[in-house]
Amino acid sequence: MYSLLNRAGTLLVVAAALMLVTGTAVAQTPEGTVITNIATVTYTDANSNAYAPVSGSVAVTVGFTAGVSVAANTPTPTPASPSSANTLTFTVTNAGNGTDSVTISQNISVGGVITVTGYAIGATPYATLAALNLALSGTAVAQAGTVQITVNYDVLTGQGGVNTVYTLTANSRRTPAATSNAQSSITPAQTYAVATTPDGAQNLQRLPGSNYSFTFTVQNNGNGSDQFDLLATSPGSAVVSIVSVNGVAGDSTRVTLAATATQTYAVVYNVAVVAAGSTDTLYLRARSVGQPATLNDGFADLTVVKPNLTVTKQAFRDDGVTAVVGTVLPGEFLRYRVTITNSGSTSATTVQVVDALPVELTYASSTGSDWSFSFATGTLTANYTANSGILAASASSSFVLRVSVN
Amino acid sequence: MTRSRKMSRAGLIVLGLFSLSLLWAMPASAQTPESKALVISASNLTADSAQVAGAQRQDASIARPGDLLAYALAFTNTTKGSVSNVQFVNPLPSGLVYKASSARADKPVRIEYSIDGGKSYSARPMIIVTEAGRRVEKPAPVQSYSHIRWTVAGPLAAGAQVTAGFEAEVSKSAHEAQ
Repeated sequence: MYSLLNRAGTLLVVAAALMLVTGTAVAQTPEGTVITNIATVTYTDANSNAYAPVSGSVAVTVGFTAGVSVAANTPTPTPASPSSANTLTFTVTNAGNGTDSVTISQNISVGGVITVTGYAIGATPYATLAALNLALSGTAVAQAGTVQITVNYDVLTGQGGVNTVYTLTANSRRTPAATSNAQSSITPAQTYAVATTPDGAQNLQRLPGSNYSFTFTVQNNGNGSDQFDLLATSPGSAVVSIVSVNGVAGDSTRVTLAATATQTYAVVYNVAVVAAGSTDTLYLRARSVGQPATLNDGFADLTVVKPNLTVTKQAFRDDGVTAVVGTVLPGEFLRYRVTITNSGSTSATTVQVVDALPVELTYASSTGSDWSFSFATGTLTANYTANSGILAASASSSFVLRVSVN
Repeated sequence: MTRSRKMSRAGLIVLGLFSLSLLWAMPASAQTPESKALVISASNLTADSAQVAGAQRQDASIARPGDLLAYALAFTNTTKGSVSNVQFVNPLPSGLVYKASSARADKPVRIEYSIDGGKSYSARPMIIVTEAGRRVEKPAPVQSYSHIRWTVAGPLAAGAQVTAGFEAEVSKSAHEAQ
């Protein structure tokens, strides 16, 4: 003990060396190594006479232990989508204690993201996994030796942000076998882009009313699936108010669109009772959730419209063409031409004229092909019936009321 | 200086003084041990346990890295008289790592180890390492053991046998060997 401590300086060096060894991965005792253990016995006789030492030995041959280690040199690639001629490299190390060769297998966790197009050992390409393994079967790897395997692959379109894990497994060919694998987690870089249409020029003309619907089209122009916040607004005035977006009450909702997918979304809105000619703009903004700076607005122009009816009434003699000028006589028949004109910007429906005759007149008849009539208690009611009862903007229609003077 | 080293030096002096007469006077049977006086055998405990478990190894006759080997050193007093100061010395060959506390014997012995190539021995070799700027004395790791020594207590009668033994692992790393 004391002598050991006296050699402290030497032992420190030993300790340092051991510490270095502990932290270093080294190869195992090579296959075929013969470990010869030799021991010696010394002894004396009863008179302390020393005798020649006797020795013995036994030899043990070290057999084979397979060991394979695979390292992914490109653990987390982010190739473009689409892209081609991408590579993954793996280093397969013979961690066993003798010469070995390996067989490679692969697994791709999520299909449809990448396509493996070939392999290489070092710089020598192989088109298929079978060809690669055929070559590997003849590739002896010495203890601690390595083989660098390259996997060539393409990334399919529209796979931005979609993760797939490529696992390369190496199995030793010798018995007892060993296996190891390493993974490259591939996530194609995602690009973000969105387009919302239309962009105006609709010149929507709407009556004051509720639950109008306008359909926008949103296209995900990025290369990966993305979520979008759909935000409807009408910033121009108090004309338009938003009811729902894509069936969701309120002025916003969130949707998911696959890469390059196009979808239509209805915005339901109300138009306030405001003056004809009032304008507003209905916007729908699609904003990427993955990258909020990516957004696009679609919009529709809207003008409030209303019908505007005017009535003119002209009096003619019974011939229907001679305007009444001067006096009329009791018993004389007169014809009134009633003309309804829609000077508004939109059609009018259920147009009805109510004409209460003065007591000095007696109703005789009424004519007009666009109208239906009823007369009761001194009042003529005329309903516009042509064109399904719709009097278009700028259109006019008239009928004739024949009466006699009492 | 240990007792054994003193004794071996005394033995050498005696041998030096009487070497010629000893060489000629000693009966061959008494002075020249039989070739079988020390028999060393090895068994592969790992392979044996695998066999017991039903997973017989095809290569059980050889050892793999990581296998635990048991060595038995059987010394027989082939002289006609009693012998004393029987001492086994077993340098650990490259490729073996001593298994802690595995050294044993079937008779009372003093077991010691060397970590300096057999120059000195201790029942518990210590080293001094620097930890956080302080020199600290610690037990030497078994990987640093270079020799094992068994010193048998008392005499061994003629024809009697003493068996020492130890276990060692076939090193998984080339640097584990000494």
